[in-house]
Amino acid sequence: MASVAERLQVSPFMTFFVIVSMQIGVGVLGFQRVIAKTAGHDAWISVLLAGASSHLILIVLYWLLQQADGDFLLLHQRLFGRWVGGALSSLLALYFAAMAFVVLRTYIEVIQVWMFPDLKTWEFSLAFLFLCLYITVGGFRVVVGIYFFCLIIPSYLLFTFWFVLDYTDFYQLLPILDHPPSTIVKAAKQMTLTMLGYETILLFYPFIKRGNQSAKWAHAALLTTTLFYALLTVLTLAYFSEKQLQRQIWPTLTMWKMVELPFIERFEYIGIANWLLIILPNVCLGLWCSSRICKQLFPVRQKTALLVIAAICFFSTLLIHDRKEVDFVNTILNRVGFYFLYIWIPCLAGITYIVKKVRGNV
Amino acid sequence: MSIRTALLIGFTVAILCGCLRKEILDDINIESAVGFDEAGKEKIRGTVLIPVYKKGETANKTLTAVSPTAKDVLEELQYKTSEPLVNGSIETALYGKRLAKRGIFPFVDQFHRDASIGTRLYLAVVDGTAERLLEGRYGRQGSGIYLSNLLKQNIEQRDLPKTNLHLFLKTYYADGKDPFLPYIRRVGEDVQVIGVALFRNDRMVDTIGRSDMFYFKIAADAYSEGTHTIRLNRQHYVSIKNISTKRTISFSGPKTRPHIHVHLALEGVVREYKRGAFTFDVRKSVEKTFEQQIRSKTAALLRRFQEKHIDPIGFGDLAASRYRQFRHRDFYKNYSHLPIRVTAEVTIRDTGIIE
Repeated sequence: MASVAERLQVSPFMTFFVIVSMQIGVGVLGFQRVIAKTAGHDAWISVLLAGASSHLILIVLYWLLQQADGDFLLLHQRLFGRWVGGALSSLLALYFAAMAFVVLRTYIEVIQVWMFPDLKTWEFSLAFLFLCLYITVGGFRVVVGIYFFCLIIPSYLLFTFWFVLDYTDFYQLLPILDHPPSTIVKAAKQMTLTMLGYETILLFYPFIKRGNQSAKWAHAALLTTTLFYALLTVLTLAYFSEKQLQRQIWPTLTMWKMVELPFIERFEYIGIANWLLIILPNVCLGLWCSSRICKQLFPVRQKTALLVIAAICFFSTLLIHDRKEVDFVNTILNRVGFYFLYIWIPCLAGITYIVKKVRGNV
Repeated sequence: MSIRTALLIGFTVAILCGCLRKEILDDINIESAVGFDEAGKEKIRGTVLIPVYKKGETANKTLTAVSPTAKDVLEELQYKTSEPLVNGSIETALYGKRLAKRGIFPFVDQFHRDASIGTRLYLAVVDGTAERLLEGRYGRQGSGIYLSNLLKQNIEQRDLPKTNLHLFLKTYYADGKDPFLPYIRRVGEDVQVIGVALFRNDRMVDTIGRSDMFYFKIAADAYSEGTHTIRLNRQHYVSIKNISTKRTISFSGPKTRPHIHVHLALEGVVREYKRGAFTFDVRKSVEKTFEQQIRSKTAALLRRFQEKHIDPIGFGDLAASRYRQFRHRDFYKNYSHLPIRVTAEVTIRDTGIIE
């Protein structure tokens, strides 16, 4: 078991903050369009469905962690041997690094389109990654501290949707279940990218005091994000007409355009600037998870690994130039995330179960 | 990497990130309203209104240019100013009547696409040309604010149904609803709302006059406050204030040709009644007359929409939410022959502070 000194651990309750702020990322700005394209006004059902399925996956993740005494990478090695197991774990490191990169690049695109058209990608990317490095080098406890604030501070944004209510027609959601179940399931699958984030539990589990007690907080976190997404989807579907929604790249931001306060005429600027706080944990934990895997697999210090991964992320953000490419990397990550969580994790659980039956232990 | 190098890099990055285009208020021209008119075949005349802030009051400046497409018009105007034009605080966009008949979507889409323009932007159709309207001088705060306040006030407290950029686009893209916009006209040194312009897709096809606007608003939207005067008999009028309305539309029968029932419930307070005491009997008769007027006027309006084959009320979308596997095309094939029944229920809540 990868034992982690108690002074580096956090209380199980913090799992809630880590998972919620990891899940809420750039996906929230535009997921409604994608799922509404498939499931129309029944898209909110897909959100609930995606939420329910991620609860199941989370149960499996916890079961796997218990079988491996809390160390997921060890599980890979015990089941597949040193080389294959190591290769699988490095793929996982790549996956988390990709997550950090996709989130960062998508956010930069939002800034470029909405606020500063002449902002260079590298400028922002470099500054932001430095901030992330600074936080991540401090260790997991510091990262979690940032998480806490990055969830509490932007939470006021929820109230801004109050302004939108004036322009919502909830009859647009009727009749319920007018689309065939297959399309609703398909839209739930497209929700994967937006739901992603809770699988980081595989890596930070050893850092939680009395790890198995964190399960209830992890489930509470999933439930919270699911309900938040469902609420947002319902509002979006009532606010736009169906074909109009298809033309919005970031429906959430477009909805903010309706918010008008006496002291600020255009709220989306505040919203986008605040969104930085939501992106920050996403990138930080992505980097942290990725470097943690490297540290365990290869004979490198975590700081060195972090620097290398951040550099790779930085250069990757430069490779993406326009909307189409941003969309492309998002779709790829969505697909990879789906296969990882819904195909690989159940397979792994099956293999673990069989091996356990045969060998007696894993 | 030593801390010093890290700091140096961090510092450089922080400084470089400030190198973006600045827009200092004193050095730019802020557009507060724009207008589009037809200028011959395939040409558009664009007018922008810029407030010029002076001591005590705000003067107006208008710029006009002609060009083939909407985006170019605004580009063209840049040549005419010494300071860059900024469109972030446009509050009103006006369309000349002739252009509105030809279709305004390209000139709306441009605002939709622009991240710097808010969705609360008011759109309106001008009887005459937008250019002439924008050249007028209205109000002390500048014409731009005057125009947006005029529309805002009429929407919140008078007979204009809610409209803005978002709602126009929402109904434009909706399969079962057609857009409408305020219809305004310049009268001397004032601007008046003279009705509602009705659209099929993005083309104006009909207008509703001021006398019918009240009935249109209660059918298309809802009333939350405002005043309406009805004629009782001969020269007797009663005016009712704080009107709040609730519209209920129900469908029965097959989904391709349903029977539509529009029920309008209205509540209000008597503000002015000149003929002595406002007794129970008078109240009943006022309620009855009002109900009767709502029924006949609204029914006539709906009949007219059916004949023109437009659906500003959104019957199609409402029906789509009541029937499973609804097809708009089948519904609109029979739309002009659908039976629509209108009923009304008026309640006079109280009679003000006197009896």
